[in-house]
Amino acid sequence: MNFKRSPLNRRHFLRGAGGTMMSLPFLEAMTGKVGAAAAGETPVRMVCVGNNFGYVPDLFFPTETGTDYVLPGQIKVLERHREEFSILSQLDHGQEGVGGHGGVHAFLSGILSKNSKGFAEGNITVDQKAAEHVGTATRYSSMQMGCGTSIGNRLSWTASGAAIPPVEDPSTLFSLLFQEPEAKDLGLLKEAHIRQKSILDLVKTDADRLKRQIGKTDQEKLDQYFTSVRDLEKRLTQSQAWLDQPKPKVDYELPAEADGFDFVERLPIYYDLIALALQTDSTRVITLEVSGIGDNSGGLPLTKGYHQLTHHGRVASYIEELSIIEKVHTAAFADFLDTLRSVEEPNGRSLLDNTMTLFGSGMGNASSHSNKDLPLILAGGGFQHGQHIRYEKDKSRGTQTMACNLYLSMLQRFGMEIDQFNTSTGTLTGLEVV
Amino acid sequence: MIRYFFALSLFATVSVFAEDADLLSPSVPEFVESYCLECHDDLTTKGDRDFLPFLDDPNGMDSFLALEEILDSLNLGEMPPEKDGVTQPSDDEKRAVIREITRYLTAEAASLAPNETVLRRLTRYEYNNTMRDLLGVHPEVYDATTAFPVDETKHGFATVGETQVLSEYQMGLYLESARNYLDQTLVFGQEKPEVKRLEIKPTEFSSGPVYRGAVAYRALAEDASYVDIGHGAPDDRRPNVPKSMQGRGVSVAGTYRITIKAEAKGRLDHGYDPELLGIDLKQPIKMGVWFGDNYRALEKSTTRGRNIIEVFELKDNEVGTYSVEAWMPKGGVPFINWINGPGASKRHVRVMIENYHPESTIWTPTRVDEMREQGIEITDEEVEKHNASVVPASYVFRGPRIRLYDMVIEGPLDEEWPPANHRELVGDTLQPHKVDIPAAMLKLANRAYRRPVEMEEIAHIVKYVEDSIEAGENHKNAMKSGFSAILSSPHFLFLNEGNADRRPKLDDYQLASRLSYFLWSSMPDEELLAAAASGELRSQTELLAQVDRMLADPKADAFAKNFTTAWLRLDKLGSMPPGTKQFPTYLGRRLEDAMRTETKMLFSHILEENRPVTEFIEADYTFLNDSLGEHYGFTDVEGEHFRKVAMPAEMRRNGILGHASVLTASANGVETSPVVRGIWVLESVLGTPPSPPPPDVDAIEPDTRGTTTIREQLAKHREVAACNDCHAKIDPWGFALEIYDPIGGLRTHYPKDGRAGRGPEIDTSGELVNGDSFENEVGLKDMILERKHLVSRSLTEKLLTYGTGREPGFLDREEIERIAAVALEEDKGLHDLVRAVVSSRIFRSR
Repeated sequence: MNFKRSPLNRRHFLRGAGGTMMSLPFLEAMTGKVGAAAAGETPVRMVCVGNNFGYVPDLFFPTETGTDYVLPGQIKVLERHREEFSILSQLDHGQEGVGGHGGVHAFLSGILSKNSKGFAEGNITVDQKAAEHVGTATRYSSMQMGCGTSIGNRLSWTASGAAIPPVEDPSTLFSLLFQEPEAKDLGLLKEAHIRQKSILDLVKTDADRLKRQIGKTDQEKLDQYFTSVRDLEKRLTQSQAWLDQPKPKVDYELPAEADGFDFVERLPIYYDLIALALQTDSTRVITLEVSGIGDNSGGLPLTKGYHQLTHHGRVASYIEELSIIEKVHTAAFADFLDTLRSVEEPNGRSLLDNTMTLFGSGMGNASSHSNKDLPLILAGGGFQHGQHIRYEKDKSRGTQTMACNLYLSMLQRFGMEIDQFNTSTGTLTGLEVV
Repeated sequence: MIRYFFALSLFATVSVFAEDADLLSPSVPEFVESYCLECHDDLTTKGDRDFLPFLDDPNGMDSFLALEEILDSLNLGEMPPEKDGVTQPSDDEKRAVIREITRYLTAEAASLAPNETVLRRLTRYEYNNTMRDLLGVHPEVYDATTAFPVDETKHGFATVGETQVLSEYQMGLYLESARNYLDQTLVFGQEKPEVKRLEIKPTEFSSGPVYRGAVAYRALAEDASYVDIGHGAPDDRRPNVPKSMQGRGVSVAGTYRITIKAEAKGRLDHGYDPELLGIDLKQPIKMGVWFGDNYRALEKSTTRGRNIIEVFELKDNEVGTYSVEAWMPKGGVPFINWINGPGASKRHVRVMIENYHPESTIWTPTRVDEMREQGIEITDEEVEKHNASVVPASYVFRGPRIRLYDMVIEGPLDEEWPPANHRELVGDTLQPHKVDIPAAMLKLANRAYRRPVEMEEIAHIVKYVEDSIEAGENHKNAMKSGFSAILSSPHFLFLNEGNADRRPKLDDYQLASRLSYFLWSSMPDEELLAAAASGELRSQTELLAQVDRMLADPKADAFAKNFTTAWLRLDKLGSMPPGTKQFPTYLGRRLEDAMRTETKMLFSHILEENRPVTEFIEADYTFLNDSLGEHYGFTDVEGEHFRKVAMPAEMRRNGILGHASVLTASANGVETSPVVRGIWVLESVLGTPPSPPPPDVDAIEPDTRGTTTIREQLAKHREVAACNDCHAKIDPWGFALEIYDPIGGLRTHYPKDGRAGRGPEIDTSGELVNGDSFENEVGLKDMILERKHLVSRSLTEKLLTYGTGREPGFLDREEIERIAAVALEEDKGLHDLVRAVVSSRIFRSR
């Protein structure tokens, strides 16, 4: 199959001529702000990539377990990274994540937004939990990107039960990361920050007054208001502090028309931007939502829509076309792992080793709208990889391993001293840190 | 719906109070033992229901759920099932038990704290409408809240305080959108902008002829007197923006008049083989007039950031002048497109040129090779000569296109200066330092908080504004910050309905707000606030007079729109949009908007004409425009505008069950499911939601390689007894609706898997649990009408949920039944129902 690829060589900055590694110097740390990087340590990063339609299970999960498995069709392209990732099967969120398309948004939290009330931290997602840990150490405590997104299927959710919409245009992402605002705009931006903080002070006074007028059932709602105000103050403070810090310079040319590219051409650009954002320590936590491929088939030779194809009912012609799309997902991911591996970091390890990258979906089998047995691949991050682990699941005995156990392990690896994350029952067994 | 809310609230709070209530009469457990236990004990446990624990302790708190389920099943006439070997209670017995359970549960509930509305905030649409009425901005065309998260809903209702969430992210957006809207309203220091008249010539769209098919087809006439536009779609990738508007757009916000001279060419007289041309030309060529929020919105294929102003049907071969006035923001970029066009023009232009216009066919190297392979001898010189003399394709192409002669943009046309909304906020002056700041702040607070505000309450805001001015901030910015604080204050964003413990009834201003957000999705106007101030709103007569007045106001359109969205779950429309490959008309003919309009107009009609609520099920008319009419199979509905159309029985679409909006929202964009549509009927129409599936049921993966239909698959599913208990109650309601495809088109056969042609024929018959059966959707509607008391009750409940911001609890059931019964009396209609809802204790209390 031939895809029309952008003629621009977007990666020369990372690969260098002849494939030698070229790494950018780390952003000069803000004194007193950046703990890890300032001390010369290399931070751990987290990337989560999710799509809304899952992958055809038979073509995603190997038949064999252990290290000696055969990569099925959709993930064959990952063969060259065999030792750098693990396939985790039979993990899901149990009853909590079920809802067909309406269950997909529980991918990274294990909890449906409508049930968030019953949980201490609502339906906070693993990335947002990690972002709490990063705090103000980086310019953005986390970033959300989206390549063809759908409003009902957000990947990232806060502890207050709200979805964070991703930024979709590569040009906007690039500008957030690497373009300095004009001096005039910078001044305006600073003024706006100061003003907004003053306004927050004012409305807090109002909220205090309102608090005395309302009943006890209302207090929880008003508490949400207070929390929102406080959190926003924090964000403004963080952003204010970073406004004076120059953004890192990168030798990367974003194609001028990138925002209008077809899915196939656009997808690799997000991965480029993720790598750059991590490499420059602009953020340490990123989610990438990859969903719709656009009305023009994303530039792929398809006769049917993506969603239509996922309802394949086992019809061979459907699965063939669907595989074209799913392989674009996995191929771009494989290229991304190459990029991460090519960047050497101060601790002597590659960016891949320092970045745990989760690739999967909140949809287990789109053809039956099942949110069970989620497709999950964990790459990099310093874990012992190279295996397909199938977790025990026995309905009659009610045993099953929660996907949140994986997230707990990831968060611990991220440096958090916690022993519980949403519906976790423990850390994930079989996943060792090297 | 009642069931869940009630059950949950009971479990949370009960035990202490429960013993105060009267005990359940032993007749109920006796009844259950005689008629239910056979199937619902610990051995059989049909439907996952075991009533033994209930019989052990009928007055225990775990029994509420069982009792409510029993009550629902009896009311529905579902249980005991009319099957051989099942002993049936007499009607008298049934009624007695229903009465007793109702009495008991009501008494139980009454002994508990009353249900109350949890402090709720404005939904996104309420926020926007309020800004519109408060500041005179234009959220309907220029929406500063597009980045707001989707409002979390409870069973479709975004107004329910209990489920609403607020985040730091949204708080930030409140600050930004308030500022954004204020920037639009206040014109300090700006002179009245000069009215400019911009004449746009065809050369601003194209610099020359078209030589071959490309994505866009924009061809300048030889004498530059017109430009032909031969491509287009609602979301086209290459919209037609005049050069002088590219990049910057209009320099100042305001109302503009856009006048276009154009005609349709080549629709009827192209002379090509229609099949070869491959474009649906039934409709007249329509020209969309739009503006983009900024130029960036026009750089890719999308409708995001693009706002439609008007759609004109162009006359064929007759030049017409088309004019429209619209408000545009500063930087707004006006453009036009062929809105019902064929998308990219590449394919058909190339094919027509090759087949009909050899003089315009360029001999490309590939083509030359082909010609030579076919044995045609041509020299390189001949090729060069041919290509040098080739006639531009656009000089010979006769296919359909828009011919645009000129376009004039005049504006801003606003006559008053400073504009009314500026004056409303800060008075006549254009000089910020001349504004009486405390007075201006107080005036806005009074309107924004929807009640009288004491100066003391906003003293901190006034002080901040004055202090910042003293500290050197300019007057304008300081004032805008003060206004922003008012517009981000919880007094504005939340509907404060006081403390139910102190005062369960709403006060006059709280009632005024509740009423105006119910009927207008916006703030009360002066007249309503005056009625609150004078205390008149407390009188039933005045309250109902206000209802009538408000429903007659155009703002009541928001009620029809937002209520039908929540009630019929049209919030799901567009969440999994049908693909353009499978259903090209969905986007190409803008069906989603048309579908919403149809349903909204039916609601408005039934409301305005005070028609019976049963008309939602059996209306033999509907509201259509050309595109939706075509979708339904009408051939004589012409034009963009919607009008009332009689619905003959053979169209098979009476009532909302035939509305494409509902049928699309209850499918997933790819295929239909009787289960989903069955649940929709039970939840939205009958108000009796089925029990959730038992825990840990794995979804069945469909295998459509054979010719099995969804019906056959479900039949298999129902062979499993545990599945059957619920699915027997759900599936039949959905079977009849299988004659509608995923976007509500009528069909008789399923599609064939993956290939062209017809699949299996659709069987629309169904049998309800009680043995009643029907052949098709007509019979289904009869079944629903036999249960019209449920329809009326459901509608009453939903109106109350929408209007009060909470789902009714059991305590409300009696009043709801009473209102619902009144609505079914002879000569009573939806208008009466709305009046009854507003008059109810439920609506007037927290």
